[in-house]
Amino acid sequence: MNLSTEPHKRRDGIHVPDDFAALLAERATRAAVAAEQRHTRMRRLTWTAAAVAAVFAGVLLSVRPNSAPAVNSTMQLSVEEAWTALEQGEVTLTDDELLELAEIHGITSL
Amino acid sequence: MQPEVQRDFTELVQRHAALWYRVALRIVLDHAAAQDCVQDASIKIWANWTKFRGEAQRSTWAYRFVVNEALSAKRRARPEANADPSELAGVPDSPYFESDSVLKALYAAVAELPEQQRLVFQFRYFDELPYAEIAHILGTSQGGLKANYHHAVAKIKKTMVGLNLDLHSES
Repeated sequence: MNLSTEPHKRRDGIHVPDDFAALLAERATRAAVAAEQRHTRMRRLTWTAAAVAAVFAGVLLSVRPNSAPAVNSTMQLSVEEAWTALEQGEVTLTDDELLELAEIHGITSL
Repeated sequence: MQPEVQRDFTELVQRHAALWYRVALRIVLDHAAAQDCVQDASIKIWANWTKFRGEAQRSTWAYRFVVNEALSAKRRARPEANADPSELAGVPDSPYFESDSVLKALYAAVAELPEQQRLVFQFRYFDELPYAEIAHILGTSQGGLKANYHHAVAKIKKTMVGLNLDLHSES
């Protein structure tokens, strides 16, 4: 080790007393260890928070009602669409139903 | 970490705290700021303790944190705090700094140097570190360091003509 820790080399004019050096070392050591403990605690808290959030999200997803749009069983058709379907033979109506449909929609000639 | 690892760290800090303070003080030029640098560097040394790969001595590796911390602190400091038009420019402000007019003149001359030359000069002249170690601390080549030291000494000698300073001018 070439770095001199001996106090006799004071070419720079800085003379550090032993008691000050000891105090400095103690403070520095304490600060380093405390910082590490803080860091560990923060890391643990972060992991705990992330785990709780993940569990909560899982529960939420599992109890959430299906958001897909409900299928509507009734369908609105315009008169023209109904008539076209009838003409193309896609629906079959009885005579009464045919007359009723014509009457409702004001169709006078079939 | 393991108790023996913490013990090693504590021993390192105890052995080198004074030296780290001196190095930091010569860079930041302020007693309180130098103490902060030692403390902040120690936090980083401990946080990175297991990342040491043994390319250099552990203490040289740690020295680098102190230098980097001091350089960062100096850059963070307000420009007006560094601008000292008095003859004390570049002189450390610390109760543990004792100097005569020659040393003050030397510090003032060193303060005029570019950062890399200033650092190399301080490590080589004040701390008498070998180039190999300075190269590890500054992360640069020995050839470049020698050239920087040579230039630094030449500039300082020019500044301090008439003062009888024993400067190593080896390259």
